This record gives sequence, structure tokens and C-alpha cells, in this order.
Amino acid sequence: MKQHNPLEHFELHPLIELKLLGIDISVNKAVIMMWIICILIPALFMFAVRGRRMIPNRLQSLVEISVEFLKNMVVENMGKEGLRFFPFIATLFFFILFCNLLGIIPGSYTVTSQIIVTALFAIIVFIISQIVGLMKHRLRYFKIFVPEGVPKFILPLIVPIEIVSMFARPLSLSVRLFANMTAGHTILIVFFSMAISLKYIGFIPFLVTVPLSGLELFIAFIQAYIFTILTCVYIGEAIKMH
Amino acid sequence: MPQFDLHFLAPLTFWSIISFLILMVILYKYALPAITGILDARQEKIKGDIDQAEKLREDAEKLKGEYQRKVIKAEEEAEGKIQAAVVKAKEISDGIVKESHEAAADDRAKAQLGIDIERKKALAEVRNQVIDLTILSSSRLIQQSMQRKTAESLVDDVIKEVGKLS
Repeated sequence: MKQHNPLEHFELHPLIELKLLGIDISVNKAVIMMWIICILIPALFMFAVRGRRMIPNRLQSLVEISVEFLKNMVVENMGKEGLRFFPFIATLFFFILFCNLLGIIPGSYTVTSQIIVTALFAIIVFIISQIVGLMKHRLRYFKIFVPEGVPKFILPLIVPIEIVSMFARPLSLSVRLFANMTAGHTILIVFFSMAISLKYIGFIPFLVTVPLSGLELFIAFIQAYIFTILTCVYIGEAIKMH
Repeated sequence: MPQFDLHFLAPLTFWSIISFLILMVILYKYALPAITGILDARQEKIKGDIDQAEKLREDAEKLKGEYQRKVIKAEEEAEGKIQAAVVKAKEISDGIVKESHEAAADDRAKAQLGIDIERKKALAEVRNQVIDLTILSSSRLIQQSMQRKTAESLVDDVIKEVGKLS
């Protein structure tokens, strides 16, 4: 029996070769998943709020609650000022959530298991927070690297640490999401291939995959939440400067 | 790891940005306003309902106070009327008692009068009888033995005696 490479699942293959101004923009499985998400989320929202019911049904309640939840998260971390980032935060949350969730469906592809994608969003968040901080506080923004109430003689030590921690943020943000998604799916693949290759006692690893899939579902929500709330915290910090 | 294969850096970055921007525009333009619109409308409705309920409650409170005052007033009025009725009833009963007393006294007086008359009548009758008897007996006596003069004086005496009886 051919031994599967558990990481083979994450490999991408160009399906449609495309080039734009000399840049390769070939369509692959991950890109198709992004398109599906782009259609699925608005369709779901529009379906949920059709008729604009005053007394919501379950789906409308769910959508309303998640929007309220995100709004509260934005206001809590960034203040009322942060509400202009609400569309960005909401899109980020739903995009990552659906990337994570749809990845659980067998045969689909987990877009967030690509570190290129997670790093891209982490860098975008980092750039936005820096621009917001600089635009709001001008040069005083660099005081963010100088924590208040720290004795002056420790500052030469503290400031480099603060700078490193600031630049470590996009790294940790991207690696956290990518690693969680990759690890979860790899474990699932390992157990599933065990279930197939072990034949008669294959039901044992299969029984493990059932709770693991539930765990993956939970992690899909948690990781989308963590990514979004950290985005709120980072941008909020740039707005409030403490 | 296949994810570190930089071969897909350009297509993934390009399509991620495009997809994210399209999704953000759709959500920002259509989906989010629809949802927040519903939420705001519901908030307005709930606020309106609560305000209205508060107003209705205040009105009810006012009406309640009014009715309470009315009830107290009515009770007071009823009390007064009962008192007046009691006083009047007492007056009437007093009047009836007095009248009956008077009537009884009248009856007694009338009865007394009747008794007196009857007695006088009886006495008169008795006297008449006595007179008759006396006359009868006297006339017999006179006829038998006595002179006319003695008889007359006897009769006079008897008449005098009888006269004293009345």
C-alpha cells in the first residue's frame, strides 16, 4: 500500500495558468476557495436578512449576534473612533472564519493553512496599525516604544525589546493561524490514513477522528476570533497609545 | 512543507487581496448596512415601545389616583347619607312611638269615659228601680195602714235618701 505524505494535502497545483503584466496569477484550489467564500458570505448574509424581519429567525439572529459581537469587540478595543475600521474587522473575521470552516469539508482546501495568506493579512494589519498611529499622533507615536513609569536607566534595554515585540506581532499573528490550521488538518489526515491502512482495527483511529473534527470546528472559530481580536487590540493600541 | 514553496506567492497574494477587497466592498455596501439597519430599527422600535409603555403606565397611575379619590369621596358621601337616614329613621320611629303612646292614652281616656257613663247609667237605673220599688212598697203601706200625711213624709224621706245615693 502506498504511504501517503500527510502534507501532500497542502500542496497547490495551478489549475488555470494566468498572467497579468508578467505576474503569475494562476488560479489554484486555494483561489477557488476564496472565490466561493466571496460569494458564500454575502449570499448567506443577504439570505439571513431577507425581508428585514423585526422578529428574527435563527439565521438572522445568528448573523445579527455575530455583527453585534464584532461591533462590541471593535468599540471595546478601539473606542467609538474605531468604528470606521468595523467593515475591515468584520470582513477579516468572516473571511478567516469561512476559510477555516470550509477547510474542514473533505475535498476542499484550507486557505488559512497557507502561510502566504496569513502573513499577508498579518502584514496588512501591521501596516494599518502603524499608519493609524502615525496619522493620529505624528512623531509622538514613537513613544509607544517607551513604556510609561519605567526608570530611565532601564530604557536602553526596554526600547529594543518593545521594538522587537512590535515587529514580532505580524509574525506571531500569521504563524499562529497557519500553524493551527496546518497542524489540525495534518493530524486529521494522519488518523484518517491510519483508519484506512490498519484495515481490521481501523475503526480505532476512525473513532479518534470524530472528536478531532469537533475540535477542529472549535479551533476554526477560536482562531478566527483570536486573529480578529488581536487586530482590534493592535489598532486600538495605535489609536489610544497605551 | 509545501506551504513554504514560494512558487505560489504571487497568485495567492494577488487573489487574497482581490477576494478580500471584493468581500469587504460587498459587506460594507450591502450586507452590513442591511444588518445594522435592522438592528437600529429594532432598537428604535423597542425604545418607542418602552416609552409608550411608560406613558401608558403613567396614565394608568393617574387614572388610578383619580378613581381612588372618587371612591373615597363616594364612600364619604354614602357614609353621610347613611348617617342622615339613620337620624331620619330615629326621628320617624320616635314619632311613631309618641303617636302610639298618645293614641293609647286617648284610648284609655275614652274607655274611662265609657266606664263612667256606664256606671252612672247603672246607678241611675238602680236608683230608678229603688224608687219604683219604694213607691210600690210605700203605696201598699199607705193603702193598708197609714194616713195620707205620714205617707207623704215617708215618701219624701225615701226620695231624699235615694237622692243621697247618686
